[in-house]
Amino acid sequence: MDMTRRQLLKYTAAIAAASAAGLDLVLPEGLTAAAAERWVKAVCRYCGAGCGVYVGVTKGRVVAVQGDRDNWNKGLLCIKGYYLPPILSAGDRAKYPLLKKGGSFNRISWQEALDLMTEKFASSIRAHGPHSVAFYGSGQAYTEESYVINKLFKGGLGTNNIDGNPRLCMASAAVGYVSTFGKDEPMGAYDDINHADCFFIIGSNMAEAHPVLFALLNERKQKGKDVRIIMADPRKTLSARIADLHMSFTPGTDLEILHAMAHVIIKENLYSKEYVNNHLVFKTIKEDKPEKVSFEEYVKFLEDYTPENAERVTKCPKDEIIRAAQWFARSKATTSFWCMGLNQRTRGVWANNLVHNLHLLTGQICRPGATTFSLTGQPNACGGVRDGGLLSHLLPYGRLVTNEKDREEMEKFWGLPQGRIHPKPGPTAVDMFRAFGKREIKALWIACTNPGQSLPNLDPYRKGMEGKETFLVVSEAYHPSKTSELADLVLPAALWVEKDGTYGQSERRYQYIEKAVDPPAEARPDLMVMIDFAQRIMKALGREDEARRLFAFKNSEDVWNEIRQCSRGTAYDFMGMTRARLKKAHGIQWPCPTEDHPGTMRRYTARHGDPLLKKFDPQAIDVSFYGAKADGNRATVWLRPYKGPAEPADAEYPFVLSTGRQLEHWHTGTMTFSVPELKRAAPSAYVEINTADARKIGIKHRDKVKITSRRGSIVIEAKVVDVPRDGMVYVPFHYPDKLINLLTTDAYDALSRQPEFKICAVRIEKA
Amino acid sequence: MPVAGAVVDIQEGSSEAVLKSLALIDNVSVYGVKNNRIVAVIEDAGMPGMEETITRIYAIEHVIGIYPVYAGGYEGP
Repeated sequence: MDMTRRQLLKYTAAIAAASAAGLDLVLPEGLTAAAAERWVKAVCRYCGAGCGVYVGVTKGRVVAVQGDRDNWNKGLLCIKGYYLPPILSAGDRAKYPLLKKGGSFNRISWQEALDLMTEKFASSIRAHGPHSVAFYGSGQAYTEESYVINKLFKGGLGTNNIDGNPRLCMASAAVGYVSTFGKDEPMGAYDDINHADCFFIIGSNMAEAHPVLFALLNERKQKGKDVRIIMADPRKTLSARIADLHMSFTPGTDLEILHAMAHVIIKENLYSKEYVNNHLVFKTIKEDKPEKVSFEEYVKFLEDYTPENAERVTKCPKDEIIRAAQWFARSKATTSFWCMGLNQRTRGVWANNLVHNLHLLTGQICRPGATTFSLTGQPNACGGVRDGGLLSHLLPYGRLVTNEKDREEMEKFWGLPQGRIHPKPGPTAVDMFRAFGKREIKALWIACTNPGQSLPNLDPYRKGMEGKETFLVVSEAYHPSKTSELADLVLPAALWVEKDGTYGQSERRYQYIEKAVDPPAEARPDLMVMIDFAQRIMKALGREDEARRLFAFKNSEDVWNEIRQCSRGTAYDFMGMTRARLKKAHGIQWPCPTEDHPGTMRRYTARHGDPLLKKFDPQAIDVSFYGAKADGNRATVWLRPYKGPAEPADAEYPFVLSTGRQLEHWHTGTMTFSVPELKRAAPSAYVEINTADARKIGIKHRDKVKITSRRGSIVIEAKVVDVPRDGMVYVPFHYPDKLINLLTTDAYDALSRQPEFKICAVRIEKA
Repeated sequence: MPVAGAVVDIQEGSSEAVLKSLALIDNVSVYGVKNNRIVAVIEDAGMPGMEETITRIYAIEHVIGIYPVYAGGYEGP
């Protein structure tokens, strides 16, 4: 058959799409699909959903990508996933180590770069002790990378000055899970979408931030005639297109709504007595300490949170609150999803606790379709950072630096002298950059992230990063970024399928990414740079023997095998997830304690297959929250009083500014702005403003407006649209030429230390 | 000139209207419809580019989402 290569490509594309849609379509007889020389299994580089992909390689270049039909995403990708291949060939890829001298960057060799870096870090430690150096990591690094650098700083150097960007996005969710259930991470799975008949989505724009999960949600909605979707969000986003009930409310007042829903659930006797009697404890904080209270005291606490009062505080109609509570409680199975709308808040942990409260009260948990599920922003925030312990208060796999037994366990496992791991948590993200600005930290290494754009209240932190008396190393795949431009030393990093490693995503699914192509020029995998640096600095500090023992890794598989051992016997238990299995499988969900175990879809339930439940709670019949051993394996319903945001709108700054994502771009845009098509699709920043508000202050669509907060101002184009509610404006944070984080507040949650990106007060005027 | 195979999710009962709208876009070919999902191939024809086409499809009433499944034809710089 005579067919051009382009026609063949079209057929290949059509067949792949038809397969995902369940439609039979075959290539014309005599043809075979051959759009690439070979296909390599990987995971999408963007959000925390973790879509399986295959990367097509021809002549050493990535020329195609397709969704993995055998993975949870059923072959679907989002627009950003479609444009993955060009991120590797972008013109601004960092290719050589660069040293800043006299304000400009000059190419140096890797030998020179690592010698200099070692000398700077070692001399700082010698002069000022181990807490004078720090590392800031990423939920985008591979698990093996995060593990090795954590081992170096906490184990090798004896400092907990190591934190990462998940502190800016997931910390409240992590502390929320730990404080309610005793252990971090969702207990459910994406499969719950197929079983739920009520969805409660709050503080998440899934259609743009997690598009493929939104496709599964929509599929469920279309198939299940009785499926109801509740969206609680001050913006009426694209996600609301499929909502049965959109609850709009004044930003920052959602704690009141969540309590009012609990009030209705109790008042209408929609709660589960079985859960209240057998699986829950109730706690409040008295004199800064948690204290158990009775169910009756909780009911009394809720008395004032009536739907009427909630309407007054939140501007959400009381009838909607009542309807949402009834749907939530009465459905056969309810799944909740949330993301940054709850997490990036000064009461983020409390908001997480209150969503969990609803599930626990109603027993909408630990069975198919009934679960409480935090969505994740980055591809390995769960795997590398939360599970792996790359935060200043954590040790790997659920251990804490403040816990003596956990420290001893890790010191023994790593072969360290007793007392090496410091008992005090190090500074969290914002405080780390504050300490760097004050020169309390003298040498800082940032890898795989862009805090020069993503930190809140940017100006003082950017000035701090530029300091002349400190030393800043930035490992980056692109240069210049808003962070690498501030560095003293830039290390070029291999990106995505230019190296191999493991990602662990939101539903506890770990997936192996195979190396498909070589990195450009002299770019290297961060893992190999970390191992190299670890050996050098330990030698410089006179611990050469220790370095040989601790960092004898030859490749990422060596590291992965140590990680498996480190998780053995914990509530995570990866022992069954061998590299060989991960290479073949389309992801495996932990816990997976043995090589013949298929992985665990749902935790805390024996009936639905948690393999560790009987080990940690032998008396349990079915449900057991075994992470909460101190509470008799019961989850906690928290009494968290209503508190508003740190900086509400006022007469001087009458609008609430919220920041977030849009479909075409991702995070600080280093990858997506390197794709010409995505840049063309969404070339410039804008501020969404409600039509009524725009009319009131005389602003028209596409007018230039000046937004000012107590910290700074920017001029930006207005998008007059009825997406945000009145009194609220919204700006995506992707754009490096319009740094909206110059305006955001660095006030953070006292428990999670996650900043309140979602709410600060601003005023708006025509520029 | 990339080519994408995509699934277009639509609201129930809207396939006829959406197909009519898709037919007006030159660089989109439709290969079938099943369960409120349209199988389409989008070609980057230069002008309009892929991103513009996707934006146009998103703007069609009753379209809930577009999910590329396959993307090929990247030649690189």
